[in-house]
Amino acid sequence: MNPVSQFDIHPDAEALNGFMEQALPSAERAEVLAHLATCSRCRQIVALAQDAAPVLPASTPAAIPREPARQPSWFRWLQFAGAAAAACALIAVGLTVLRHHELAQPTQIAKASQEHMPLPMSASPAPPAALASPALKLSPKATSSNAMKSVILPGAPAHRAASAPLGSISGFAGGFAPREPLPNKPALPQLAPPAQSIPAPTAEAKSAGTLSQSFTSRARQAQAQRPSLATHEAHFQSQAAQPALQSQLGKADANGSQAPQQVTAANQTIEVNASPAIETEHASSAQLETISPIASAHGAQVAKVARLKLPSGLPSISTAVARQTVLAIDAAGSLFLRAGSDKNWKPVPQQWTGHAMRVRIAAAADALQSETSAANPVASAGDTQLAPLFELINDSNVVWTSADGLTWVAK
Amino acid sequence: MPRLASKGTIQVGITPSQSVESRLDSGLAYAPEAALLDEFWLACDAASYGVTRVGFNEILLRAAAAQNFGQPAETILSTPQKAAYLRAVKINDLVLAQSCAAGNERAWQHFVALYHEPLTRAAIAITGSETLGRDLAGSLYGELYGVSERDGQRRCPLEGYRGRGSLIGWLRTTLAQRHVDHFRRTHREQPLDDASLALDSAVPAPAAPPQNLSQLAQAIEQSLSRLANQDRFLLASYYLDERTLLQIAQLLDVHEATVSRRLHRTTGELRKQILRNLERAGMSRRAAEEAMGADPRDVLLDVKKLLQISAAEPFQEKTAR
Repeated sequence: MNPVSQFDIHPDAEALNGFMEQALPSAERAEVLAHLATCSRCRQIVALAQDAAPVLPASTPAAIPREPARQPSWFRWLQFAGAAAAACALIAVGLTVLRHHELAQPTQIAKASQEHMPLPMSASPAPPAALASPALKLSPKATSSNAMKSVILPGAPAHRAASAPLGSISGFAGGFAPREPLPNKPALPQLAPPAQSIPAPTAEAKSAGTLSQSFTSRARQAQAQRPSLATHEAHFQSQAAQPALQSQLGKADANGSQAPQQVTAANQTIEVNASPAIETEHASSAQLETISPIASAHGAQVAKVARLKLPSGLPSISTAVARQTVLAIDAAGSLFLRAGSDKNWKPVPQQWTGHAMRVRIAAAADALQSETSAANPVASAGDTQLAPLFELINDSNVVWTSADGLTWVAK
Repeated sequence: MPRLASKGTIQVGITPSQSVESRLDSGLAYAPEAALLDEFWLACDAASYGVTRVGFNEILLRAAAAQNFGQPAETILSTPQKAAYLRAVKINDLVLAQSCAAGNERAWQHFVALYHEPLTRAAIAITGSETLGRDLAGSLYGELYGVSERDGQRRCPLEGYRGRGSLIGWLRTTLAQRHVDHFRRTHREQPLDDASLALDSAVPAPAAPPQNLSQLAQAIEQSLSRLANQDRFLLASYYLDERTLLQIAQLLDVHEATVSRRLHRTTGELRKQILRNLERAGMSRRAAEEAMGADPRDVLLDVKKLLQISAAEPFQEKTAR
């Protein structure tokens, strides 16, 4: 006991320091605590010594590592539960993003010809990133045809829409991979606007923009992810006045704004479903004509291929059509070709490695076609006879090209 | 020579009935701890300032015996208990302090090299002034060096250090003790904890308080007198000394949230107890509630003084010395 105290018997520095550093046995600690409870002098000493100590005194490490050991076991379980909850949240967010990505893909068009001749609509929706790309140019016909594809007609059977695989309408087996728009211009030479190169927005821009008023809520969600669509829509409306096209259709007057108006008017009365799983086989051309003159004109060349009846009996996962030639890949990766007016599919011998995943119009052919069409609207398919017309992509992302769909060479 | 206890426990070392000196002189008592002492000796750098092995053992065992190995006096200890105590002792600090107290110059050099700056910084932090802090540190240095004498012998405060806490902590606490005692000596007319009381007492006493207020004061006094020590410490530290939750938590080795909850619970129970006391005094529940809403300045009660009064006995050092 330190005899310094004048008023009472106080614990000495050893005891007070031991109390502060948790170094006293429990009995003595209780005594010191009882004293501190009633002695302001000793509390003051303890407070001063405590304040004078550095934050982490090097010589008093005993009190620090004891902290985790005093955590109750349920708290440790809480930490694991927190990690599990975070993982679940990540998975949920990921699934939601993927779902939105699906919804963002413009749906395929309900269109079927009256003669029941299924012509593939090989245009695949572009990813959202492609929408904002200024380098991407599509003709208004391709745009309108894709716009048409995003409409599902009231007559389309719902059970078929639900049963259609995503790959059959998206042009991808996986359904989640980035997609590129397939230009339909080679298949529609007669619909090219006269002497006019149109730096139009993407097909998705048109479809989402012009039809946005009648989109369902899911479609609106997809559209909300693409804020640039409004500008594309405006551009489309300004470019949509195409006298040649309208005269061919015979449904538009000299007023250039008539066509988009018709599109808008038709959309206001048509139920639109943005679900990617849309079966469009039973849409009639007559109905399409009420939807859009552009769609109607395009309907003679482009038909849905979401449920092509391939010789293998498997659904098609990717299709492309150009110059009256239709290519389709079934779910087994086999490539089939249908040329001209022949309604029979011919299997194309495999000349590529791996598993064919996707077939599309070659970008070079499309670009050349665009330039040619701009310079001379009469010239069309013949100028690109020698250029690779189709591209096939295998599961290793290796590209093979072909001018006729029968002979393939690695790119 | 170890002797067998009644329950098979091997009784080794110092028995409480022996004096420390006689135990040290016996030499037989420490045989079982020899291996432990060897281990401590190898881990300690006492040899660097000239402490011999025998001196090391004596320092260690004398300090342990003075505390009865951390157990209450008259307690018979087993070897594991003693070993546990010895392992918790700050042996390096203990040997250095005792060597300094014994006048070992090399130990003093070691001490100054280790603790001069930290001690000065601590003194400055305690006094809040560099000048006062250096003065305080200098005076403690002189005291530690054995300038003061008692009964014709040099007295070194380091002799009181027994290695249960760190030496720097002990030095800080000693500095704080010196500072508080100096303040109290020099402010005897206005003691540190009575300053506000003196101001309050200068105010002329009002007339006799209303009946309900006197009952309230009595109920509060009764409730406070029944507080547990830890609750009293919490209330005093938090409300009187204005210590933070973190500071209190560090002292009690709990989380500050625990301190907060305990404070909340203590004040709640205190309020209930006061209400019960008021009801026992004849008040209705509603009247007791209204009395609790009285202005504290109207209640003639010195809560600070009440909190300093405890039914518990004053601190007594019960350890063997």
